[in-house]
Order: sequence, then C-alpha cells, then structure tokens
Amino acid sequence: MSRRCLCCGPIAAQASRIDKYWLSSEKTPGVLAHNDRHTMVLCCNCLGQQNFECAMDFMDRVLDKVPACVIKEHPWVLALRPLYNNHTKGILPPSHDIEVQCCIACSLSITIPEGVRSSLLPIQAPLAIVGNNDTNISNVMMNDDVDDDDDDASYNPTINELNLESNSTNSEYDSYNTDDDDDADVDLPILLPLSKRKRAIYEGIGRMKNLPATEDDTMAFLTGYQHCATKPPNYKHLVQHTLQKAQRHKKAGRKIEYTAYSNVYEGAFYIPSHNLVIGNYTHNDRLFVDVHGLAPSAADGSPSVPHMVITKADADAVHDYHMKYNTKPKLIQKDMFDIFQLHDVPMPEDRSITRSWDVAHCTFPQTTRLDEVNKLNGSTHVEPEILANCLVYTWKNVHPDADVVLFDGGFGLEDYVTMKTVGPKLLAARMQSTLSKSISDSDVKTMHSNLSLLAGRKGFEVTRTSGTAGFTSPQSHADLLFVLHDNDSLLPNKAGVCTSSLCIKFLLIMSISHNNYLSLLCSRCLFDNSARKVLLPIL
Amino acid sequence: MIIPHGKYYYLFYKKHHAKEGDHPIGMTTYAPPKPGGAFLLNSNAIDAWQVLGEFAYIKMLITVILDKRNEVLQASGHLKVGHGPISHELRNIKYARKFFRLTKSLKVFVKAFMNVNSMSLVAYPVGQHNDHFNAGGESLENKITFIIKGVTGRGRGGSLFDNGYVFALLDWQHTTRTARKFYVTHAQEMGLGPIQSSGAQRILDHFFENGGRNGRSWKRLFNKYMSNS
Repeated sequence: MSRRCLCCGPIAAQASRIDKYWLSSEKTPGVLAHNDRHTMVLCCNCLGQQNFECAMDFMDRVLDKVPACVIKEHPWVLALRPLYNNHTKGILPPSHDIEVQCCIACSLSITIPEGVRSSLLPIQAPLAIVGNNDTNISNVMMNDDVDDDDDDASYNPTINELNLESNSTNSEYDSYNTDDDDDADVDLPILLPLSKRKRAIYEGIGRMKNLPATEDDTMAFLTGYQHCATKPPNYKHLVQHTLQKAQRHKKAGRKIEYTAYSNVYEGAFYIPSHNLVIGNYTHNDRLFVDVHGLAPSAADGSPSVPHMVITKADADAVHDYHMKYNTKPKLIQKDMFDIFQLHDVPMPEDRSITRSWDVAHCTFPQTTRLDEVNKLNGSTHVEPEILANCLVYTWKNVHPDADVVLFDGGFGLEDYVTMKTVGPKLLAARMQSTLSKSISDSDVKTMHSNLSLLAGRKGFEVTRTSGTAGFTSPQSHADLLFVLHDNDSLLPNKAGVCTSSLCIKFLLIMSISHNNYLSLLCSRCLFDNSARKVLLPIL
Repeated sequence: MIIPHGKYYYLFYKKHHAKEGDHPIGMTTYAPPKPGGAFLLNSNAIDAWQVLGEFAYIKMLITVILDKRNEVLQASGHLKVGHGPISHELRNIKYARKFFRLTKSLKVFVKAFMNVNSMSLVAYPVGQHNDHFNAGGESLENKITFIIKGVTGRGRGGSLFDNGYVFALLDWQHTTRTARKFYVTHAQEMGLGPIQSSGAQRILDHFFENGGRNGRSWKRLFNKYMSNS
C-alpha cells in the first residue's frame, strides 16, 4: 500500500474522495521524502495517513495556538498528545504505525450529523450591467480554447490532454522544464479549464474593478436635495393598498406578489443595551438610509455599543409571545420625539448653499450595562420576552413630519469617571426617504449579482470574527467545508503541498486544493515575484 | 485541520514555502461563512446604479446635519453627539469638495468621497457584535437595504412585505490608498482615455508633469488623496 501523507502528500484536508486527487509522489524529493520506513498515523475513519513528523508539527502548532479548553476533548489531540510529549523529550516514535479515530483531515467533518447540508449556494455568474459593460480591460485569467459548453462536472480532461505523460510520477511535469540551462521564460501551458460559471465570475470581477466612467454627470439630480423634503411615505396607505390589490388579484385567479406585511421585528436593528428595536421595512419603491455611529470613539471616550439584527426565528417567537399574552409591540409614540428645525445646514458639496431640515430626535436611556451585554457577543438569538419589552420604531409609527430621525443613546448605567464628559451615542440617524424614490427590481438584481462577486472572499464573509456570523455549529461546519470546496480564494491556495520538483532554475510545485482543482505553481527559484499559477483539472 | 471555537474556526495547514526558522504549519482563523463581505467599490459603478452615489451623498448630508446639530447642542451647553466619527466624515467631505471645486461635477464629488470609503454587502442577520474600524479609526456607518424578489431565502431579513430576499449595503472608512484606485476612479475626468490594465502610477505621473495647469491641479488632489489615510 502506498504511503501518502495527508499534509505533505497529495491529499487535501477534508477531501472526501481521496483517490480522485491522487498523484503518485513517492519519488519526489524534498518535502515528500517520506517512505515506508517512517511511522505513519493512520485514521480509522477516513483511512488517511499522516507522517508522524508532520503530525507532531501540527500538534506543536495546535497546542501553541489553541486554548487548552478548546482541544481538551479533541480526539486527535487526545490520541497523539502522549506521543507528542515523548517526542519533545527526544524519545523516538514507535516503529509501528499509530491508529487514531480521526485525523487532521476528518476531525471536523466527523462531527457533522448525517443529513446536515450546507445552507449556502455557490456564487453565480453576474448579470450583465446595462449601459456600462464596456471596458477595454482584459486582465482576467482566461483561456479561450476551453470549450464554452464545459462545466465543472463535465470538463475532466485526462493528463494526456495536458500534454503530459500519463502513469508516471513527478516526471510527468518534467515536460514543463525541458531546458534547465535556458534562461528564457518558461513556456508553461496556460490551461484554465474553469467552468463557464467561474470564468464568468472572473470576468465579472475584472469588469467591476475596471468599470469606466461615462461622460454624463449622472449625479446632477442630487441638487434636488437643496430644497426637497425627505419625509417618509405613507406606509400604512401603501401596505393597505398593496394588500387590497393582492386580494383582488387572488380573487381573479392571478398570481399575487404578497399576502401580508412582514413581522416588524424581522431584520430589525436591535440594540440590547438600550432595549431599542429600529425596524427595517425594505421596499425597492420606498428607500431610506440609516447612519450609525456605534464604534468606540477616542474623541469623546465613548464605548462601543453592541448591536445585532433580529432573525426570522426570533421575530416569529416574539410574535407568538405577543399572541399568547395578548400584547402588542411597544411602538415609540410620536410625542416621545423632540421635533425641531435645523436652519442653515450647508450642503456637502458647497458650504455656501444652505437649507433647513426637519429633525425628530429622541434620547434613549441605557437599560443594561455594556459589560453584561458584551457577554452575549456572537449570539444570534434573543429571548422573545426581552424583545417584547423593547421600544420599536417601524413603518407603523414612522414619524411623518421629520426628514431625519435621530436615535441617541445615553450611558446612564456606566460608572465611568469620565462619563460626565461623554455625550450620548448616535445609535442611528435615519433619512426617511431618498430623492430617487425607487429602484427597479431588475436593477437591484443586477447590482446584487455584480457586487456579490467583489464581496468578501468571492462572495462569502469569513474573516469577520467579531461575532457577526454567530457561533460555530454543525450547520456552519458544513457551510465552511462547502465554501472551502467551492472558493478558490481561500485557504486552498496556501495549503497542502502535493508534489514538488526542484530544477536548476525552477521549482515546480503541484499542490492539492480543498476545491476541485489542482494548483500548479511555478516560481522561478522561489525568488521571482512573477510566479505564475495555473489551475489544472482533476486528474 | 479545522478546529471550531466559539465564534470562529482555527485552520491549520502545511505551508507551501516555510521560511527558514518559521514553523512549517500555518494557522488562520475563519468565521462561519456567510454570504456577502467587504469590498472596495469602483466608484464608476454609480453610472450603472445611481442609487449607490445617492447613498454616499446621503451619508454626507446626514454628517452635515449632525454637525449642525452639535453646533446647536454646544451653544446650549450640551455635550456633542458622535463628535469623533462626524469629524472624520467632515474631513472626507472636505477632501471631496476640492474635486467639486475643480470640476463643478456632483458625480466627481461623490466619486471622490466614495473613493475613501469601503463597502460591505450583508445578506444575513448579523449576530451581536461591536463595531471596530482599522487602526482605531472612527467613522459613521452608512446602510441601505434592498429586496430581491423571487429568490429563495430571506437574506438579511426586514422586508416590508412577506416575501423577498433582503440584503444591505454598508459603507465606512477605508484607509488604504493606491494610485490605481485614484486613476481608475478619475481617469475620465482627467481626460486619460480608456482605463489601462497596468501602469497607473506611470500614467498619472506623466499626466501630472505634462498636463499643464490641469495636471498640476489633479496632482494636488492626488497628493491629498494619498496623504488622507
């Protein structure tokens, strides 16, 4: 049986079909020099094998970086910890292989209950931008020779198609490097068998990053803000009218868009320290903008104010709570606001132009100390009885006379010495409507489709660890594995050397990815920054 | 190797090229993945979606309103509200105003302002957290939500009616400045023709040196941009 190390061999962590990725590497020098004489750590779950030295390297790093309480019950750590202790004392590893219940590759996936599938969808090809899809940029890695009809599943060229000798080991890639004594550029085949979807994504990213401007001053309409009011629309009328129309359509047997208005708590901005819920009543024909100032401020010494968005499950729960106890949401009454007119407010572009704004303002007292609230950071759940006691600002009680509504929060419960100099925090400022009253559904769709490409790591947020994404769970485990698999801008590009071939002037590295591609990285003697990366298909 | 812990995961991996003396195993942390994330928007996108430009403009409007209110509060002996982030945004507005003075174009004004901000797309209900900006910076956070009909899921949630996928766009301060970003954003106004895929600094330098008075004016704005971190 071949001895293939999980981390320095051709097998990616979390790869479910190990044989699919296999490239023989026994004859490879350098990092792949493990052979039959080495002790291996054998996984009883996924049958993966890891060189003992590599396992010790991992153990060393894990013990250094992860708090002890997190790994005290980790099966892989528990199994290898005694051996690691011996290893650090210089005691040689056992001469026989070591069996573990799970390995570095499957220790997470083994914890996902059967039936739990990723809740995420792969990012899709962007929709065409109407009127602005013209650019002369062609910096997207593309290979037009690849058949457009191929997709992830269907494109699976053999190694022969890549002009490589089949059934060989590392010498397969010697064809890339036939002229070791030649200083000329290496003529690597640029093969990008990306699916149509991924190619469209790369194209879309390139297009978005290099969008050219038009000559028109498309923002000239903003001068309307010099005199127009931004009072809110009559939401009650809008809701009533829309639902009545839906009823008529239903009676006529036509397709209806809406059946009811949403739960006012769903998607609302919740500030636990002030028991305040600022509703979100999104409608593409009635836009509004919020501004928040919740981060800590060095200028006035005010602390940061924790906040979150209420999930549908919690919104449903508080609705049920109200039904059960025959209560209603505590809507902020109009008389709680202090309404005033701000005169001589300059326009942003020119201070000499001024106007007046009608502003409604309310300062909310603090109801819970910040240190108490901060203990729950990362939580996505709020108890319904807590939400039911919050003051709510939503479309039902929107202030009809104000252009802008300001929500300030005091710090009455904080016992800082300096609090006398710390003013209230700007919890939210809501511009109750915008000049362009609506945006078409198709524009929103196109905008979302194109902006998603740029967002985070190819459409997924994985780097904000402050609690916005909630806590880890079996569901999030499945989501993470899905993203690692689908996304080629994440860990896969850093991890998992597969095979390397050291030549006189070049180092060819075949690396395995968490996703479905093998990465071929060619760097000139490792010093040249012009390293080229070529993605090859699964072999 | 992936180890979950509370709000994030530890991910350990074998490094491709561990430097001498470095540990051969690398480590990074990832949060549970969610749709969306931060990005730098090419502000020319406002030509395709004017609402993005208006969104940025409203942030400026609210900033000047809040600043005016602080003046009123201070005059009546009260403490200012959000003094730190408002000052920061006023600085950005002041910067963008220089472009308006030069071009008399609201589009250029808005683009200049957007150029010193980054955005986030959020399509999930965020968990409880505190906001922090890079290097302890201060900023107001601007938010607008949209709804997509006929898509599975609720997204962030918060639709007026009972269907639809909601996502939010936010913007906040961004401190990294690059010549390329300035070039791509203002190439049209500087009269530099179609955007080239490389050599932004070289193109700008050439324009600044050979563009006469106009070139010198744009050079001052460029220098201001690069120093405005």
